[in-house]
This record gives sequence, structure tokens and C-alpha cells, in this order.
Amino acid sequence: MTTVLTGIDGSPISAAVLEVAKEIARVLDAQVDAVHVLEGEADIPEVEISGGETPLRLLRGDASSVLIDEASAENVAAVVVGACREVGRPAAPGHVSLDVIGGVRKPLVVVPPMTAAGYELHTVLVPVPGRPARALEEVVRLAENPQLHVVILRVLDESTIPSFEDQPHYDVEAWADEFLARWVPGAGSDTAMEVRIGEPEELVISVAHEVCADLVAIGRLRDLPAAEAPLVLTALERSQVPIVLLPLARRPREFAAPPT
Amino acid sequence: MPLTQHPRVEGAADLPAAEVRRRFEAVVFDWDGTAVPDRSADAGPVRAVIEALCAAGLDLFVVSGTNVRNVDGQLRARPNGPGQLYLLLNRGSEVFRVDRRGPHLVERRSATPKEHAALDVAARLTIERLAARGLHAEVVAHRLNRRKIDVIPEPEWADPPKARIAELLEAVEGRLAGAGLRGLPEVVEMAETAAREAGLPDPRVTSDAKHVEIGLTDKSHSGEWIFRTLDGLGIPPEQVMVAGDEFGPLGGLPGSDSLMLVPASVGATAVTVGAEPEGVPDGILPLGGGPPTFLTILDDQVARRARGDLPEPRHDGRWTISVDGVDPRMERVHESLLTLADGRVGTSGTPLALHPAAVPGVLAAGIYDGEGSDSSLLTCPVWAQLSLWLDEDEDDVARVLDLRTGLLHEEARTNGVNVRSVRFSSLARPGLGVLRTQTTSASVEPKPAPSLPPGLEGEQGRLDGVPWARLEAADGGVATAVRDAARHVDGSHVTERFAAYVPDPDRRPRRTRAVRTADQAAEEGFERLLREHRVAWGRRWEDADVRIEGDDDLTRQVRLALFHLMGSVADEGEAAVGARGLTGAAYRGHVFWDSDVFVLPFLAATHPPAARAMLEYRIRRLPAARAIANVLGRKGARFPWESAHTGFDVTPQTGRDRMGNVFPIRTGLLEEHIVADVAWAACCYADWSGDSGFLQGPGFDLVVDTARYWASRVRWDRMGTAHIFGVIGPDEYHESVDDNAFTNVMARWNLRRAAALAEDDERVPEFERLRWLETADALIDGYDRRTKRYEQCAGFYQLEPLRIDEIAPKRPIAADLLLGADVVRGAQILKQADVLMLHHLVPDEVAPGSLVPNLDYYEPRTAHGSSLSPGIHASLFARAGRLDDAVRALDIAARIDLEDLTGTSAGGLHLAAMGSVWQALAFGFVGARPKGEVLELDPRVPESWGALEMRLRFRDARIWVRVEPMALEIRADRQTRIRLRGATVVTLAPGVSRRWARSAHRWKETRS
Repeated sequence: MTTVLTGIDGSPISAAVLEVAKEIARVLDAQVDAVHVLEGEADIPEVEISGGETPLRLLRGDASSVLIDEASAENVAAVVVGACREVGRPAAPGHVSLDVIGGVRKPLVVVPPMTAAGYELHTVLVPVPGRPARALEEVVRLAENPQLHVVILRVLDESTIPSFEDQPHYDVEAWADEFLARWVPGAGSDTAMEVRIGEPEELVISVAHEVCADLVAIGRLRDLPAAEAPLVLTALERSQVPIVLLPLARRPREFAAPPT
Repeated sequence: MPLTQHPRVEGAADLPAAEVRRRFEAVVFDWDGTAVPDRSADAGPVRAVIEALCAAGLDLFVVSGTNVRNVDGQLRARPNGPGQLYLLLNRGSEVFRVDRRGPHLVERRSATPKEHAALDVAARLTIERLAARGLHAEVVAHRLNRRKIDVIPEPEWADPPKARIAELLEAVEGRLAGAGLRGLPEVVEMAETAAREAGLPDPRVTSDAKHVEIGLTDKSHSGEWIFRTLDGLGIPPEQVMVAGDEFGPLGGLPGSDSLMLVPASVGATAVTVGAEPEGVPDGILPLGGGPPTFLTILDDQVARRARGDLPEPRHDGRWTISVDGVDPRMERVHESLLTLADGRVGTSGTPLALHPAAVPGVLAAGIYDGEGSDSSLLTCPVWAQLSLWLDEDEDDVARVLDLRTGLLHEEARTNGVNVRSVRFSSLARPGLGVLRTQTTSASVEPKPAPSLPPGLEGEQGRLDGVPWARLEAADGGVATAVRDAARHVDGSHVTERFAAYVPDPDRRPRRTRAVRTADQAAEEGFERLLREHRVAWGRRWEDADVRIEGDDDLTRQVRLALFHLMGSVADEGEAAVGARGLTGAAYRGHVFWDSDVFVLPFLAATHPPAARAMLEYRIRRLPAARAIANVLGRKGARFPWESAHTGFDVTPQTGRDRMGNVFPIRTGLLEEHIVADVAWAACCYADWSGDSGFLQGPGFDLVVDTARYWASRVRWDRMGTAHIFGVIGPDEYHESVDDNAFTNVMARWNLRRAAALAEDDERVPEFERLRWLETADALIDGYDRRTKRYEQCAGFYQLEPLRIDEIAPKRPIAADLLLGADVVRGAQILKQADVLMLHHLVPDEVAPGSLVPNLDYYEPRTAHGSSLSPGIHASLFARAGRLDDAVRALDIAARIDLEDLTGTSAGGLHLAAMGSVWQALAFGFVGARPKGEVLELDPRVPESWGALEMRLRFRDARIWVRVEPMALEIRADRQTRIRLRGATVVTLAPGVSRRWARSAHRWKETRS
């Protein structure tokens, strides 16, 4: 059975983590596999935060290492962890989250502490900064999921602003249609596109709010440390909705060569 | 994947060389010794096969030194096409075309009396000089344009058969050696010397061992004529076989058949069936076997045609666009680039087999569905698709578009089946699509058609067994019918489809007409349709081709542009040319100034009937334009910024920007220069074509009613100055501006041109005509004599003085996206040429010497965010002598679609940008401008180009121009008056090249 590995630690965020994990599991048609990693000689927690609906596995060891190890199992489709341990602190990812980001080769959902109760997953925002790359495929595959309303956020900067725009009322539509056809080929009619010009780190937070996103999906090259990916860091620090980091195996590829 | 695999044919194994086991489009061959053993042999077998091959569409060229009586008397072929039979006789001096009624003289080189006398003298001198060496020789015949000297006039060698050529040669050489001569080469050299002494500058001396002939022509003239003719038919050398029996040297002289291999034949397959005792040159296939081998070759060609083998793709990359595989991301762009169109109907170049990334589409020109701004080109049923899916993983498909002939070749391998195909949209019969597929499986068939596009309602059915469909649009519609044919020979499965489209913009089209057209096409057959299609494209290119020596990529890019410009415009009736032509449905197929100002000039100067059809579109919408003017309280005619079927404005009222914000679209209200643009297009057509009757007749109102509009549109101030308030100029970053220089000067030009046209014409009252002139003189144009600059609009100089070249990371760039629309609106930043467009369109209407000051000022402020901008600036840079800048701008313009620089080529190609590429070359680099009955030229090309060659039509004359950095050559097929900048008028005589050399800034004639 496909599972969604869910790391909880008994902190107040654990309830939100579990709620998000259930929604992820629903979309992926998977089961939640909740684990609590006890570090050192810690006692077994007194509160059963899974509420009894979801079995909780208790494991011992270094939390990050154990989660990374568990995530490598073939049946794990995704991993869900909390962003930090305490509500009220800036929503920086805790050390466990950062370590897990660096080590997990599966989609990793990081749940911020302010995630609202009664979480439901419907709208996913997919920011596409820089030059679209072939690796984007793995991010936008989400768009093929009929349970999700995907919003592609195309962020243009000085290097990617189109050279030409003849009659905007026609070019905008033609350009957007072709962008989706080219980079989100499986997109259904429920896939929308938003375009912004500026810094992706700034825009992703505000647009997520504008479109009422329930999840922000960000592709991340596996060999690029999270600390070196400003968009990832900003999203992890400031997003009020969960972030899913999708590992991209390949380096981006530019457009195909023109016809000869 | 190469498109060069040749399916096997039964019996082909008899052929001695694999190189000849393929379909050829033409066969050129020597007669005596190659096609027949000798001149008394029975030519019945070769006659039968020649007639069969002509019927199957192959062109045949018989080359011989003898005359028509001898060859036709022996051959007696009476072919009935579609392939043609030509006889090139009398050693290169005559050409005959043979049809059912016999041979008809096409061309004959006739010696002048002076040349006749010189030939006689040359022959006499040669005989005298041989006699002086003790060798008796005789002039045995006075043939057309030559004298034949028998160097062995002995009874034993009176009429030696070809089979005894080696013995004959030995006897001749023995005879010559006896006279102390070093063989035939010395005799030939002697004859050439004598001919030159007699006054023949370029004598052609040949020998068949027994004779030495002094003439004005030889077989190389035949070769040149043949390959020139084939080029006109779009048949490249690699699709031609040249057969002979004497390619190898004979007695130290080149074999006579080797003369057929002229430079233009490089790439042809040359075979010899002769004995070739001294071997053959490199590149000639020595088959041997004499005429029986040659007959086997021809029989194989008959079998291939009967089986339905496909014509092969061209090799010359300057004429082809090749797409290997299906790249899902670029597929729709590729389909636009590979579009086949005939002026009436355009079909996207999708793979024949189905693929999820492919978007097959068929559009019919001028057939709009929907009302008002929602009107868009009707999507028609698709005709060229197979009931087969491409295997996405194998990705094994290759497409080659031949721009020269408008053929789309495709080869695919999927699910274990090989599918090769050729399709075309018949330029000779607009509205007819033709497809032939050759597969290894009998189960592969064209998808049942015509099927109605999803979401569209229509009718469909069968009539006399022919399936048809009909779609109705707002007013008219399209009827479609297809006829399929199949044949299965030797394991090869060939299917053909003939798809007829009958578009009618005004009425419900008749299905019977579509069915009848498809039926008729099927009866004519693939080969005949292919030939007439090739001929039609050949004629178009003959008047329009462009070549840039030293830059094959640019040559190909330019040809791609011209191909789609030609394919998108009909040359009969009316031609509604949307922003993407027939290459895509973007811009809903609406007609903008792109059509009048960017596309039309190319056609006016290469194919006037198409330009005339574009104007017919405007003429038929004059009533609507008058109604618009009337509603606005003006006089005359106001053409709409966006036009579709009715002629009323179809510009949307609002749009969404890239951020999703709704914004008002004001171009429909304010971009009024379109009114003068239409008048300019009418005059452009008349000036190039010389069709003065047009401006006096149907085009009169286009010029006059637009002038009336401007006369009623201006506002006068108390100082007596006329203004035009509240417009949008070509620089669309600034809206609702006053006294836009472009609009005002174009209006002024319009008023003056109309006044000149209406002089002494009772249709325009004199007081009105004088008022136009008065208004034109009073129109403010923003010109400052001190700076020699035009202010783009009132207050432009007060805008924030930003220079986009200093703040943008790159150009071209959509500056409104980079900086925001508000910033751009308040700054001196332009989208595209505005003032400078005047220097491009109406250079006589702007102040002399004002190009450079305005170019210096405005170009750095221009973002080139319109695809129309780079091409026009290339032209302006060239006029200003800044050739490096011109080449850079041209390079961008030429790559806009090929490299999808806009990200929107999937919705169709940017036809106006393509037109601007041609204008940059013709108006910019060649500096061509009609001025009355004189064509003015001011050519200049960069050192990086070896030469720029262009073909133009000016007042019925076909003109060929070759511009090198320091030299110029011009030729016209009829008397034409030209003037080079700063020089007097020169009259070109028909067919005579004139040459000039650049001397400082002037052209100095060198020699003719």
C-alpha cells in the first residue's frame, strides 16, 4: 500500500501535520503512516495525538536520519513534516525539516504552524520562475490530478520578459495557452495561469494568498542545497500554507533547437 | 531519420546499380548509342516506354547532335502529358517540345549572316591548314550553326556504326599521325584557332572521331537549358538522371555526353551505357550494356510510377525546413512553420499519424464564424490524417517542407509500420489538398474524412459515394469532400486522397461543387496535380526568389518568409489576410494594417494579382468604412483597425494583460492611421504594377474617400493650422495623443495623393480637391528644421527622457512589461518605428536629410517590442548606410518564427514580420522604389554578403538584381527604365544584363 510518511513529534503543530497528511493521502490515494521518532532516551509521549484514527509508529534514533531512512522505502509516496516546533516563533523550518529536505528523495510537504484547522487540499500553486525547463514536468504533473485545481504562477524577470508583445489582448492569451500546452501538457480546463513580473520569493507568498492556495508546489533540484534556493527558503519561512518540495532529478533543459 | 529510403520494386534487381533504383523526376539522355543502337534501329520499345513515362508524369529530355527529322522520324513518340518530352537537337541549337500532335519548336539559336560567314571561313581555314600538313579533309555538311569536317573521308568509314568506335578512332589517329598531327586534340585546337581568327569569340568545336565540327553551340547549351527548365519546375539535380554512352574521353577529347553535365547539373545521377573504351570520369556510373540497359532503367521508372512511389525530398538546405521527431513543446510551432497553404486554404504541418502534442488544423481565408469582436476564422474539417497513432517513445518521424515546391514529405515508423508520404495544397487549384502515402501495411489508411471539428455543428453525408461535410459560418461557410484511392503492388500499399474545400464568405457553399472538385481531381490523378502544382510554385519563385550569397541560413529564413507570404494570399477575388495568414488561428484571423503595409508590398512587387485581391477585400468593405465614418460624423471612409467579414470594426473593447488585469482596448477607437495605410497600399500596388486603370477605376474611391475622411477629421486652430487630436500611432505605448507625426504625415500624403489623382476628374469637385491640398499644407507634422527631427506627438519631448537601450537588459523587449505600462506611457520609450515609419513608407513626404537625425534619436528609444519593428529598422539602417546594424536587425526579424522568439508562433506565423524581412531587403538594401515609370535603385550590401540577388516585377517587367558590395548587375525581360541614385535614367533592353561598379558613393557602368 502506498503511504504518506508523516513525522510528528507531539508538539502543537503535529495535529496540523497530520491533517495535511490525510489530505495528501486522499489525493494520492494512499494511507497515512504516522511516525514519532524518539531521540536519545526520551520518554514515550503521554498524548496520543493521532487521535486513535491513525496508527502511530514509535521509532528511536536521530529524527532526521530515521525519517530519511523510512522515506526511502518504495511504498512511500510523500513525506509530511512540520515547519517548526513551537507556535509563535517565526515560521522557520526546524533543524529536522532542513535536514529532511536535504536527504529525502520524495515529495516533501512542510507544514507551517499557522495552518488552519480543518485543512482541505483543493488549490495548488505552482510557481515557475526563470526559464521553463524540462524538469518542470515533474512539478506540473500535479495538474493531471483531477482532484486538484492547479494554478501555474509564471514569474518573469528581466531575462525572461518576452521580447515581443504585439497586440496584448491577443498575445497574452496565445502565449499563456501555448505556455500551458508546452509545459503542462496534461493540464485540464481546471488549470489556471497567473503571470507576475518581479522577484519570485516575494510574489509566491502574495499570489498564494490571492488565489487561496492550499499548497505551494516548488520543484527543487536534488543536488541543490535548500539553503541555496532562495525561493525554497522564503516559502518555508513565510508561507502560511504547506509547501511541497518536489525533487527534480534532472538539470533544466533549454528549448529544443529550431528546425534545420 | 533520413527521408531517403527507397522501397524495392519487382524487377529492379535487374538494374546493375543501386543508385538508379529509385524514382527520378526527369531523365536526360543521349539518343544515338544510348536510347537506340543506331539511327536505323527500331525505336518502338523506347517510344512505348517514353509515352508511358510522360503519362506517369516524368519529364524526358532527348539530347542529340542531329536534327528533328532524324530523331523524331525514328522515335515518333506522341506523348499526352502530364510529363513532357523535349528534344534538344542540332548540338544545342534547337529545342522542341513533343506532344500528341508532334514536335513544336520552343527555341532556336539562329546564326547571324556574319556568324554564318565566320563559320564558313573557320571551316575553310581548318581544311587548308590540314591540307598544308598533307591531310585531306572535307566539309561534308552545313548544319544549323555549325560546319562539319570529315577528317577520314574514306569509303570504308563512310558511315561507321557506334559499335566500331574503337576501330574508327584507331584509323583516324593513324591517319592524323601520318600527317604529323598529335591526334584529334590538335585538330580541334586548329579548328578553334581558325574560328577565333574568323571572328567567333566563343566557338564550340567537338568531335565524334570521324568528324570535327565547328559551331556556335554544343550539348552544354542543351544541358543548361534543361537544368534551367527543371529548376523552373522545382526539380533539383538530385532528382534527375543523365544517361549517355560517351562520357569518357575519346581520342584525347572529352566525351560528347559529358558536355550535358553543366555546373547546374551537380548532384544529378549520371550513367553511361556505352563501351567507354578509355574509361569514364569520376562520378559517372559505368553500367554498360548499351540501349537495352537504358531501356531497363526506363522500364523500372515506369514500374515505380505505376506502383505509386513518392517523389523524394530535396537535399538543398537553403530550400527546406526539416523537423526530426515530435518535440511536444515545440510541435505546434513546427506545425505552423510547416503549414501548407494555397491562398485559400491552409493546413497545419502536423504528422500524419496521430500524436497527443499535435494540433491539426485547417483554415479557410476570409471565412469567419461569430459576430463582432468574437468573429474568428472558421475551423475546417481536417483532411490529412491517418488512423494510426505515433508511438511517443519511438519518436520516429521526420518531416521536410520543400519551400521551392510546397511539398511536405514525411517518413514515420510506428508500431512496426513504415509510412512515407507527400502532401501538398495545390497552388494551381486553390482549395485542393492532395496526399499520397506509401506504407508497408495494408491496414494504414487515411482517417475517414471530412469529419466535423469538435464543438462545431454542421452537416455531413455521402454523395455518389463521396463523403462530404459542410460548416456554416456567420454568413458563408465551407463545404468539403474527399475522394480516396488505393493500390497495392509488390507489397507496397499506396493510398491517395484528394480533398476539395469550397469556401464561400457570403453564401452557403454547395456540397456538390466540393464533391465534383474532389472527383475531378481524382480523375486527373496525383502525378498531373503534382506537376501543375510544381509549375505554379516555380512561376511564383521565378518572380520572387531571394538569395544571399555567403549566408545560407539567412537565405533559407527569407525563403521561409516568402513561402508563407505567397501561400497566405489568394490571387483572385478578394483576399482577407489575417495577422497570421493561413498558418494559424491566433488574432482570430482579423485583418490589421499588417496586411496593407507589411504584406502587400511584397506581392505588389512580385505577384500583382495577389496584391490586387488584397485591395479587393478593402474595396468590397468601402460601404462599411463609409458607414463608420458617417456614424462618427465624418465624411469619406474610415477603415477599422481590426476587420473581418463585414468590414465593421471587430476590435475587442477590453482585454486582460499578463497579470490578469482587465484593460480597455483603445486601438479600435484611436488607431486611425489604418485609413491612410489602406490608401497607401492601393498606391503601392499601382506604382509597382503600373495598373493605372486601377486607381482611376475600382481603387479611386480607396484613395479619395480616405482623403475625404482626413479632411473631415482635422481640426483647425485660430492660427490656420490643422491638427488631428486623440489618436494612437504605430507606437502603441502612447495612447490618445495629439498630432501624432505618423498619422498626420500619412494623412497629408493621403490628401495630396488623392488631389493628384482627382485632378481634372469630375468625380471630385475642384473646390474639394483644393481644400484637400490646403488641409495637407496646414497639417502640423512636428518637424523642427533646426534638429531635423519630427516630434512623435505633441508633448513627446516633455515626457521622461528615458532611453530604453540604456535601461533594458536586452532588446527587443516588451518595455511595458519590463517597466510597467504607466512608466512607459510617461516616458520617451517607443514600441516600434513611428516617426521612422514615415521614412520607410513615404520618404518623399518627409524632409530631405531627416532620416539620420530621426534614426539617431528614436532608435535608442525604441524597445522593438513589436514583431514589426526589427525588419523596418533593418530597412532604415540600410538606407542610412549602417549595414552592420541593418544585418543585426534583419537577423532578428528573420528568426522571429523559426526560433519562436515571441512564444506565440504556435498560433501562427507573424506574416507582417515576414513581410518586413522582404521590405528590408528590397527597400532597404536594394533601395528599390517606383517613381512613375522609373524604378529607382540605391543598392548597398555588407561585406559579409557575397551578393544579394532579388527578383522583382515592375510594370510587367521581370527584373533580376544582383548587388555585391562593390558591383551591381541588373537584367529585365522587357524594356525597363531604371535610375541609380545620383545618376540619370537608364533604359534596360530586354534580356541584356547591365553592370556597374561602385566608385566612392556612385555607381559607374562597366560593361554590358
